[in-house]
Amino acid sequence: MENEIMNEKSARIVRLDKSNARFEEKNGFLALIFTENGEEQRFDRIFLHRAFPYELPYKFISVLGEEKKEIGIIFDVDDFEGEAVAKIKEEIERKYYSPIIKEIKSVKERYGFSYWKVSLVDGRELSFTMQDTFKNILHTSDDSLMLQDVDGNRFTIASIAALNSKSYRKIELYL
Amino acid sequence: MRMKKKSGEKRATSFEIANKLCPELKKEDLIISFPYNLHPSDPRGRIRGNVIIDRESIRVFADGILTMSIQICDVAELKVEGGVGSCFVSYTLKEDGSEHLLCRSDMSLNKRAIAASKKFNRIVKSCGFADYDANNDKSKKGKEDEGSRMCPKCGRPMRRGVCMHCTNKLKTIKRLWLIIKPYKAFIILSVVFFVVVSALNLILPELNRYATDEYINSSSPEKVSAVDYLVVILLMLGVQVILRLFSMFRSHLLINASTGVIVDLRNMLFEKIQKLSISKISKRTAGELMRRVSHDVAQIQSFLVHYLPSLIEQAVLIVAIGIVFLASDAGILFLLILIPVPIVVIGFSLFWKKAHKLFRRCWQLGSKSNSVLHDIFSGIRVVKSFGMEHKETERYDAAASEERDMQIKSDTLWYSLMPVMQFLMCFGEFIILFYVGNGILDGGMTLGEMSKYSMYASMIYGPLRMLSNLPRQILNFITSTAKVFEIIDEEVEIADKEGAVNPIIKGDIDINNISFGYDSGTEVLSNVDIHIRSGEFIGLVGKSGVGKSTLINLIMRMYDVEDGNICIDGVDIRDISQESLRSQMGVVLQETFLFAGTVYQNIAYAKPESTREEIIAVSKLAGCHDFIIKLTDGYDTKVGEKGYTLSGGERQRIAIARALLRDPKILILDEATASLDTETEKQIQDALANLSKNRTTIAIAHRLSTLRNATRLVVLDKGRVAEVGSHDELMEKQGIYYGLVMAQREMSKME
Repeated sequence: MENEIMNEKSARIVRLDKSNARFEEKNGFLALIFTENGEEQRFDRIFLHRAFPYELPYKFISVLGEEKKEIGIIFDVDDFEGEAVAKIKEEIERKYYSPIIKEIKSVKERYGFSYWKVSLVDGRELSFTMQDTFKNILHTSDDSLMLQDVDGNRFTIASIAALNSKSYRKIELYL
Repeated sequence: MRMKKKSGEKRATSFEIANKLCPELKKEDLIISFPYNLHPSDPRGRIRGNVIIDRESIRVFADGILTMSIQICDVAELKVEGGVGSCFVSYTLKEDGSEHLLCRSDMSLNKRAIAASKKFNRIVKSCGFADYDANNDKSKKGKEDEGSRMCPKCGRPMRRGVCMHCTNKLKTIKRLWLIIKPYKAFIILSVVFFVVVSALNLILPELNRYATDEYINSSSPEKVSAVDYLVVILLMLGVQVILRLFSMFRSHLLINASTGVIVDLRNMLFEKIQKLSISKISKRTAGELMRRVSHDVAQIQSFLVHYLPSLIEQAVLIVAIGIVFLASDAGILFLLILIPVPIVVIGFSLFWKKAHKLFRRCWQLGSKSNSVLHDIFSGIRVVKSFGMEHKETERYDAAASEERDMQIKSDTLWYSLMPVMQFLMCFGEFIILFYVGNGILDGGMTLGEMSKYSMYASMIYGPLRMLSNLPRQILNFITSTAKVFEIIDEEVEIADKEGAVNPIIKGDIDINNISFGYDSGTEVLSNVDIHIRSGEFIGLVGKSGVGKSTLINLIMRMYDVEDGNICIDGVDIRDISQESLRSQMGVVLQETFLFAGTVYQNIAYAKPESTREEIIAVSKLAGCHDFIIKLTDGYDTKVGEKGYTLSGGERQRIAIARALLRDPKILILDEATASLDTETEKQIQDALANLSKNRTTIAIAHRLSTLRNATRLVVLDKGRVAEVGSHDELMEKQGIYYGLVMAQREMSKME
């Protein structure tokens, strides 16, 4: 049964899809042309926010205007077609930057910091430092993790089960 | 996220980097340069980029190639916006106010970008780029690097500007010594006692040998005198008594010293937590802070009182026994006895490596389950009112189970390894049995000697067995010490200046063109300029999130402004001691906290020396006297966690009385009357109207009727002052304030 609150005016959700929203690149950012009741509105700079960043990274994307006021919600990026999907995904990924870790090469702890050397799915290798390591490793699902370093950079382990045994042993005690 | 620098490699200066990319650039023309490392359009693409700003242009380089150049005269401001794990630097054009992407980087370079953009905007606001003189900007020098917490030598993070890796380790020991130093007399004396106790311990086996060889197993029993034997036994008894007495004195001294150290450490920790800014404290839960002050310090105490003495005693004893063996021509036997010791030590060190993480994890999970418990109990009313007891039980059960599983894991490791270690430690006794037994058969050794060496061996191995818990205790000690120092080492963001003054405040407040933002780099307040005269009643109005509470926090110096300054009676608040500043301010917040104690104690908290008459007078003024007097225990009614439950409005009125008791020159009301009914609010408003005559009052209220007595209303919008004026003036203007009033009137009609 649908919640009656959803019929309230102030609870109304503006759903953005290919019928009422067009996206284009402007000045290095994403712009939106939004049509409502036959009237076209242009937003030269929009901000995309994931409502459920871990569970549904490409669904329920809130689109805010320059005043940081919500214009509407993209229920599913795939509600759009072709280039628009690529543009939206690109903008989301530019904002939510979290390299994906494939392998953990080493973890060393000293003086309250832990020093990580990892290789990424794109083949690059990098190192980062964590403080309060236990606190900064977050289970984003039963099988995935988010690691946050001292600067606020985020790293994703998309599947704990897919880590090789050496990598798993290195992170096991933090889980 | 960075590449490690080679040790000793010198970090290039901003100018060296800029000069490499723009060889024609002169040092005096360079204004700012900062790096970036993400591709502007490719979400996952990484590059080595630099932004170089000189007097004429902003130039962007990607992998050494110029990709963008903008005339500086066209740019109004630079802005850094935080993404999630990334940040965008943009510039706004003067011509049409349009925003353009300049560059993008991950969070490692975020703070440098923020510092650079702040410097850019500061120059735009003040002198402009043509007149900018880098040599006269010494006060701001290095600010573009201020965000970097990394050691320039090794690239690792630093604490309070010190790299733990590159710094002299002796300094850490010196720090510990500084805490212990006042108790050095106790420690020196107890070390002397350790030596005496060890020496007495060594006499006993020798007496035992003498009793065995000369009396019990004498080759000529007919010559043995019962009296002489009794003397030897009494001598052994006497040594035992003296030994126990010395041990008792030694323990007494150690307990005195360690308890003193612990109390000092606990006070230091507590004092530090009090000094930390609200933002730093709120990063940790109350449960976690409590655990650091109580549990971790207790762990350190336990180690200092129980385990460290055993460790010292053991070390002294091994050396002394070694000397005795060598003096008895039994050096080989001593070495044979010690054979299993290194095996045990190596075994333990391997074990520590693994166990360390397990114990840390146990600590974390223990802390987590405590926090869950604290959280549930703090919000027990919400839990019950939503009927979520079952869910919360499950939540605690999950946290406790997690802790239990980890405890099982670490205990399993511990108890699997311990029997092996204990077996190795027994090995020495078999060596003695074999070596000395052969000696007796050959006639070179006596039964008394066998007994003596066995006693010495048990002196080495006995405590070793007892100390089998030592590694675990050392681990707990190290973990707890690290946790305690983690807090002590926290940087105090808001510290008193040397020579900070303690003026008597009149109440003039000048907020001079201030800008402020929290960590993210987004400005919450920008260019706010308000001048308040003593005795004025200022109402701060605006939607949620426009920066009203932030402004109040800045006036109270909970945070420091980044640009501009706040002066009270013409003195910058950063030059006034925090205690003096806040002791002359009265604050009533929306969230009222009453400490466990009586109503009287809670009101008197602001001024403990106040008389009962004063307490009653301020209570009458705050409108709480009438209900307090009706309580069975009047002003002695217990409130707080275990006490009488007061309503939100009652608590609020007590808080107002508490604030008024100080007779503050500056009164701050942050949604202070939000939880009161209209009638009570009116009573308090009338009281405040009288009170505010002689003091500066700044009030935030969403219910605009609360501010009807205000001399002036300041309307904030998007972190800037949008409107200033009286109620009538602003209504006439029909701007933001007018809109807010109209919206509230609509609401009242609906009610």
